[in-house]
Amino acid sequence: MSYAYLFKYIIIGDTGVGKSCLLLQFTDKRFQPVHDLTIGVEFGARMITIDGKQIKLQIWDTAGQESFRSITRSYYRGAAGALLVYDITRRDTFTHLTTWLEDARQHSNSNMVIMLIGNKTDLESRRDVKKEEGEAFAREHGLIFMETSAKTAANVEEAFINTAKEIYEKIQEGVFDINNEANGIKIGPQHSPSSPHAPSGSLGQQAGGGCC
Amino acid sequence: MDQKYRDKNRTMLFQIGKQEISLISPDKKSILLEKKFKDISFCSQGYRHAEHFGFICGESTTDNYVCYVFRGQSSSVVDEIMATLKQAFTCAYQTKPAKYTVCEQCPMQQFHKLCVEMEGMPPDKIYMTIMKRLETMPDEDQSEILDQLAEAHGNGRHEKNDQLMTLIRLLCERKQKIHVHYNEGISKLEFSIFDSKKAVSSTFDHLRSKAKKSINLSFDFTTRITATRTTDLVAAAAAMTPPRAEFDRNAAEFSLSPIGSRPAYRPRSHTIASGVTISDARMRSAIPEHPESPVTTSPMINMFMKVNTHPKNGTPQNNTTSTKDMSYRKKIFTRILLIRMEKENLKLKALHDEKTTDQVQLDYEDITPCLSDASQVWTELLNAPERESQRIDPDKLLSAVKAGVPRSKRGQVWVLLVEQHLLKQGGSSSSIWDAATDPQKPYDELLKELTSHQHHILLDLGRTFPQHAYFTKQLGAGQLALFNILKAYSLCDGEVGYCQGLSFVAAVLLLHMGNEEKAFCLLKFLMFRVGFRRQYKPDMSALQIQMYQLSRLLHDQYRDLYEHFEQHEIVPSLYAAPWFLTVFSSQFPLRFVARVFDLVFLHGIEVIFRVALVLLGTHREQIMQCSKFESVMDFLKTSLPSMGVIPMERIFNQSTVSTLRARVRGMERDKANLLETITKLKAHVPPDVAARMLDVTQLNENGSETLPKNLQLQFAGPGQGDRHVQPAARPSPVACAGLSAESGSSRGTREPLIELQ
Repeated sequence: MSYAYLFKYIIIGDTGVGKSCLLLQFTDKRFQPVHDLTIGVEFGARMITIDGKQIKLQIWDTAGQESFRSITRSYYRGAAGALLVYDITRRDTFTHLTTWLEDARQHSNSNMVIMLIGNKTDLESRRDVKKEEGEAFAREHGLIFMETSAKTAANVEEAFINTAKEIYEKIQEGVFDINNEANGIKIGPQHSPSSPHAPSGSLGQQAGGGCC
Repeated sequence: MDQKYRDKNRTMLFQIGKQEISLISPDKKSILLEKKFKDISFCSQGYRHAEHFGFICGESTTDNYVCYVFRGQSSSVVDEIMATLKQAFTCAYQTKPAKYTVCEQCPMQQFHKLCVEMEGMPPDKIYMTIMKRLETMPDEDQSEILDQLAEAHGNGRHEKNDQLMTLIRLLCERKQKIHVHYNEGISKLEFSIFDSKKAVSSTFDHLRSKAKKSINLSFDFTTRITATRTTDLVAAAAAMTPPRAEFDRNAAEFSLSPIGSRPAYRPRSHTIASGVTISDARMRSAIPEHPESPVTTSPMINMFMKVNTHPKNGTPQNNTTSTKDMSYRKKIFTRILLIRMEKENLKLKALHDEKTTDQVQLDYEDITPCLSDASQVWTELLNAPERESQRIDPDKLLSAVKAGVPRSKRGQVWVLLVEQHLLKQGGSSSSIWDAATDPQKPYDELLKELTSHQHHILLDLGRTFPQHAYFTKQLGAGQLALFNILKAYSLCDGEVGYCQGLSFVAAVLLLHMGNEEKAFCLLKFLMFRVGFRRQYKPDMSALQIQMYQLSRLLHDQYRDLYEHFEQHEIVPSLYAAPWFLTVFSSQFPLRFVARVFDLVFLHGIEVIFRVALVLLGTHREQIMQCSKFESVMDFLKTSLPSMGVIPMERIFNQSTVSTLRARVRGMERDKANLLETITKLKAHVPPDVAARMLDVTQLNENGSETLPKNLQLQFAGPGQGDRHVQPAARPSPVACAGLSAESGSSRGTREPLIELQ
């Protein structure tokens, strides 16, 4: 399928916060309470439309345990967006956000859009982190913020799509240099040459081979 | 504290659910205590001893209140428990108590319905109705009751009816004990006295609804999972701290029918103790024992009251019944004996089930069909006298493994391979289970301790082979056994603790060994002796080296494939990390995994490289056909594990032959040298350059096009020519550090890579 851009996303956050479930809900529109542990990294992809343009999201779902960080660090390379997830029923997953953010900032390109996600809003009665706290954290660190439920699918689409919108805006503003693949954006093989962000000759070749 | 309890493993899991709390013993694999929130009247943390907490709870088996006191790991844990309990209580209070659904198939519920139906009927009609119902029962139950009725020699319709109802009730009680409620998953109608077609007369609807209320109360506690060991725990709790306060008061909301509300759960002995006078039971006389009780009109309760005459008004109403009393007692006694025997039978059945779980556990098809010849060879090897001290010819062992390992003997074969490994290393010939030769604490001692990794382990239990029958049930026997192994391991290896991936390895071992402790011993062997533990260390540097090694091997053996991966920026860590960390088990079917384990026990960790290479090599063309990042990854992660049995067998035939060892070791040193060079360079180059170079070692994961060239350049120095000699003479600091740490933990007996043919 043709697309105008491909954005690479990475989903990060503590173990058990629902990263894989968010991905599954977004790509397959289903919730699977029982699933295998993510060892290393898993992948998902979905096409979305923003501003009339087809955009492919290539999503990297990473292992959350501390030991895996040395490996997952290398996955930030070339990511245009990151979903930083915590579990609203487990405060420790919220307090660890700072280290996750440090990691992400250090190993990604500076323009990477980070969406902070408080997941599991279906467990409202067991909430341990107030929505305001999440908002405050996001404000303080310049992140976008949403609360989601991978179980009920509440806000899941929005979380992924809003991140893409933000990235798209940055492209429009010229913040992202789309000719540099390290930014996590690739131009689709069928992209119209009349587009203002048309690939140059050499890049077109790259895009054809390097992306999907 | 009582010495008796000190010796036992008293670490338990305290689970706070939506409507109840439960205490689970990972040791006994059972729920020791389960209390509904609605039964808990008070809950508090210790004031002076903040690591204690307790609650007061109405007991369903007695009319008393019991105070349970527990000690947590620390006061902070208890703080957390209290906060969670508070939240759970509030939550349960807000969400109105869920409607109790009555299990219509409960034998006691059916019995109750029968009583309701017969309320007010003339004796003859009652007799007819009962007889009709009897016909719907299974033959053996029916004849049993009729036989006993014949023995009873009751006079008159009235008495006969009473006798019949008593017998039916006993039968129902017995059935109730083994009954599985329909809302607990299994809905099979194993017993029925209730004619479902016939609607219950509406005249009794109001009675029924009232009775239902009391029935709900009496049955809701039977809808829980078996909690038979309550007494143990009460004793244990009491042992911790003495105050087992018993409050002699009844809470109004639970005393609607203090006697009637617990028939199903009451220990059988109560029936005798309370002096059953069956002849007193009359269907129609509704003399309320507690006139103020709102449900006295419930026929069910009347029945119970009469059958179970309270000592308070224990004057027999009918003096002529004393001899009959005796005969009934005798009958009931034999009945009770029967019930006890049945219980024993159940226990036996449970034992049997345990054995059959072996079949559940190993429900896979062997890749290499183990022919009877091969099976015979293993039988001989396994039964050889002085097996533990006799070395078997390595070629013979290899060919035996090649020929296939029978699934049922696989656990024993692994043990044999471990023994052979230890013998080869000149280790003592003592059994690998002998905990005394091990400086580590024995398994059951480890189980008594608490691990800081508990939370992570618990989180992953449900995510390790969730589709496998043995591990499906949340905190069921399989999950708890796995919990124990991982907990024990995390305690005996502080550096690794618990790392994701380990749960899969432990689960495969558990499935084949069928015994926690043996599985634990094998896990320890794989980790310390075979050297698996390095890849699980917190920085996972060993795994990164392995990824680099795999990349190099690909580069050397399948250049085209290597370049294809390069083009799509696919580095080994994207697909091979789970191959190494779970020995293929998180993705590949168990039959494949079992075979890899066979080889790992024979040849060590290097087997994973071989299998990985053969896997990629044999599928080279298919992988090359994938022209996108996603499609390559999809092939590697989905199509590859679901290949057929025959290609799998081929892979193993190829994997048993290899010459990888020297090269893998050489590369290990290369990487170490590379790190060393960079460390040295760091002093002379600007920090950002050094950082970038370190980034290179961080490593091939980065997958940029220039990377392999860089690496090759770096390797040109120490790597060429006598690669195997020079670095060994002067090992790099990194390698030294790695090795010394390793030998420290494995007591210097570990061989980095096991010798190859």
